[in-house]
Amino acid sequence: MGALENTRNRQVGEEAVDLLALLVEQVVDYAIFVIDEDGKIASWNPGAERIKGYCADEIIGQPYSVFFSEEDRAAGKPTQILSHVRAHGRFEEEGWRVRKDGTRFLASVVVTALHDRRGVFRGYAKITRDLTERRQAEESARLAAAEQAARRQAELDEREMRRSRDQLDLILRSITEGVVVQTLEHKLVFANDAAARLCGFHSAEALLSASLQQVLDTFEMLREDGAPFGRDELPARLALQGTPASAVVRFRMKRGGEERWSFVSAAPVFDGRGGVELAVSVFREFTERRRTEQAWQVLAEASAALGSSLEYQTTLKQVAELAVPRVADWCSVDILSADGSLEQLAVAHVDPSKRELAHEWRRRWPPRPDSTAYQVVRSGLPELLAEITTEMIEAGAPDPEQRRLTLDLGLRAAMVVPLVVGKKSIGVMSFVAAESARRYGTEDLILATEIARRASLAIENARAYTEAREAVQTRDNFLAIASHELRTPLSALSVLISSVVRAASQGRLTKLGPEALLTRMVKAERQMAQVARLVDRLLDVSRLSTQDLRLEREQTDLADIVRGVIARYEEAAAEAGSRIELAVAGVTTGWWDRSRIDQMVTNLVGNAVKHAPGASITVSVSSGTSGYARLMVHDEGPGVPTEDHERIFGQFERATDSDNNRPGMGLGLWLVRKIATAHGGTVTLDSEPGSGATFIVLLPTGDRVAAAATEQSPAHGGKKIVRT
Amino acid sequence: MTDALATAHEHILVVEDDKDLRESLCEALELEGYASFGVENGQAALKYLETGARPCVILLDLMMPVMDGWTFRREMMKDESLATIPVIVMTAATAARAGVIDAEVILYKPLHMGKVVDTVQEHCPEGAA
Repeated sequence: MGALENTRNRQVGEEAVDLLALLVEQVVDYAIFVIDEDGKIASWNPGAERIKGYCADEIIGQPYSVFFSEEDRAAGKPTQILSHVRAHGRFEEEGWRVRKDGTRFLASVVVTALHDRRGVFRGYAKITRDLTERRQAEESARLAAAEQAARRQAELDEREMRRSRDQLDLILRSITEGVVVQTLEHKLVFANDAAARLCGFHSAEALLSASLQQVLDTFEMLREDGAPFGRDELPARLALQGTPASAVVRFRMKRGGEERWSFVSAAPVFDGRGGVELAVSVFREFTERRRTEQAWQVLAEASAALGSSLEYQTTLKQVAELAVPRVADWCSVDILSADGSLEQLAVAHVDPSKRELAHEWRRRWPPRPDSTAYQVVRSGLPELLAEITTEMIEAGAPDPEQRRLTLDLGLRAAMVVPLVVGKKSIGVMSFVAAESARRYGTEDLILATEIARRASLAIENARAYTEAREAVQTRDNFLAIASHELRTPLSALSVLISSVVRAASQGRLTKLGPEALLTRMVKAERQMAQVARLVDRLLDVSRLSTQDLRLEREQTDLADIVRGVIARYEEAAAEAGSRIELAVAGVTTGWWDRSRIDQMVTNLVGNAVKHAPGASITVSVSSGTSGYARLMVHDEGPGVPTEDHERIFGQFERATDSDNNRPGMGLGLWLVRKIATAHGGTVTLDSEPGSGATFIVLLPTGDRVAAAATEQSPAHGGKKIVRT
Repeated sequence: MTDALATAHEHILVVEDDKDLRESLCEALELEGYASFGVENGQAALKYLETGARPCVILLDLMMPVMDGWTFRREMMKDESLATIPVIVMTAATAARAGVIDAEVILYKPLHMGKVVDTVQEHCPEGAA
């Protein structure tokens, strides 16, 4: 190294010392000073003055222990630190120091041993930094962080609490059980929607905000047996007295009367001191189960009621009454009649005055072919009208009067179910909800269908029974009339013969003489013929009652037959004081069964002779229009009231009650119609009481082919044998 | 004949609408020694009794046109002088229906002459002399 270089080095060294002195003199954030070998302060900088409060003049030469607290000094800490530095070259700590004004501050202290270039110990360098601000800043930061954390936690806690509260609320709101909480003052403080609905409110809010009067107006609570609950007997009241309680409660809506069945359990909630604070009630509704039970009960009763009668009308009435009021407010039974129209045969209604209205409604507006009733009949499938709205009524009833009356009936819902026998619909049952405001659902429809199924069987049984009974009645009538009709000629026969036998056996026959004997025997013969005729006729009628008439057709002149019949009746007519006149016009031949036509004319003429004694009788035969022959039998007798015109053509029917005392079986006109119809013709009666009677028969004259076609046409039914 | 019978001591009135039976009965009764008179219904019978005729017994059919046997019997009962005449009912009706009439005997059709005579005999002891 050259001299120049040394000089430069020296220069650099001097500059560094200067800079270092500047650093010490100007730094204010650090107290930088020297302590001599004796522990006294040897230098002072502005930073030391700022931190410690002493100026250089007053502190230089003072022991550095003034910076320590009383306790540290007493403990010898200043000396210990310096000894440590002498021994180890360095000491560092963060510790409490005292300012000139006696206040303490936290200081970061580094004490370093100072040795000169030769390594001689010269004293101590002490660098002190006031940590108070940093500490404070750190402390506030820590506090701020802690606060932040606490706040975050609080938020989390609150969120969690809110979440669990919402969850609890949600659970309570969404469970199927109804829950209400009441205070000691019976005020509701909580209710869920299930509880509200049970009491007839649409939501928990509606229930909670309802006044006491509103609550009382909405529903009442009944015991299982239907008796009202005493106020203090309710489970919640008992719970408020400290006793858990439970009971079946029927909530009955004051409007509409709908009932909801519930099992209610109530329990007290105690406060910290063991006193009752609240009562919690839980409602478990079992209306549906109850309905199912009731449905079964209705069905059981239906079976019992339907089995109790075989009368058709009674059965229909029972069928309608079954459903009211438990399934419907009114119920009607419509049966398909022969012409395919629905005929209402029974109606039951909870309100008898409304039943009249229902009748009236039905009478004025019978169902249209596109109505639900006909659709159900056609499809054989039930229809559920779960809710009948005003709009539906307005659309279905274009007539304003019909609309008004329909609205008056207060229809709310309806079920129309078919009455089915085998695979055939025989009618419909309609279940209608009105007053009760009930609605129908699938389960109701199942119940209604089941009722209808049982009703169908009962109706069919009743119908079959009625038909069978009528058949038996017809047979009994037949037997009664047959035996009655036979008894009179048999009596005459018996009297004739037994009187002769008695005379002969008592030797009185000679008294009688051969002529009188012959007269009696001729009479007996006539009676026997009469009996035989009656028997034939009865057998004929018996056969015709069960099968169709067989015709043996041939070319026949109606006028000829009529002449023959009149001839046979001349004597009888004369005896009755009547006269029979005949009028024939045109050709009166046709392709007919001669003996049956004779029988028909005989019955008509005989009928006139019997019913119009003393009156004139006119029989006219003419060629009618378009291939028909016409026979008219007119008498000037008492005539037949219009309402009996059809009836007298029935089997065993007599024209009047007094006719029951006349001979005859009530079969004559029945046979006339049977014969006319079998020939493809008709018979009608034109008569009014007091102005005589005219029977008009129209017979198609036809020919072989046409006659055969008539008999084989389905309209006249069955297989026929045509003899040619 | 009516006047003669009306004054006759004993005779039988036959009320029957069936002509053959009525005539046969009258003839058979005559053969048995009884005088008889036949009419065709209750109304004719009442008319006959109005003449003052008093038969010892009336053989009465029930089911007849114009006036039936029940009505005739009720009419008879209204007249004290007729009420006591014994009535024998002859009927083809059922016992239940015939039973409501006030009669001595009810004979059910078909009739047997022996029974008719026995019954008549009880009420008309002198007739079959």
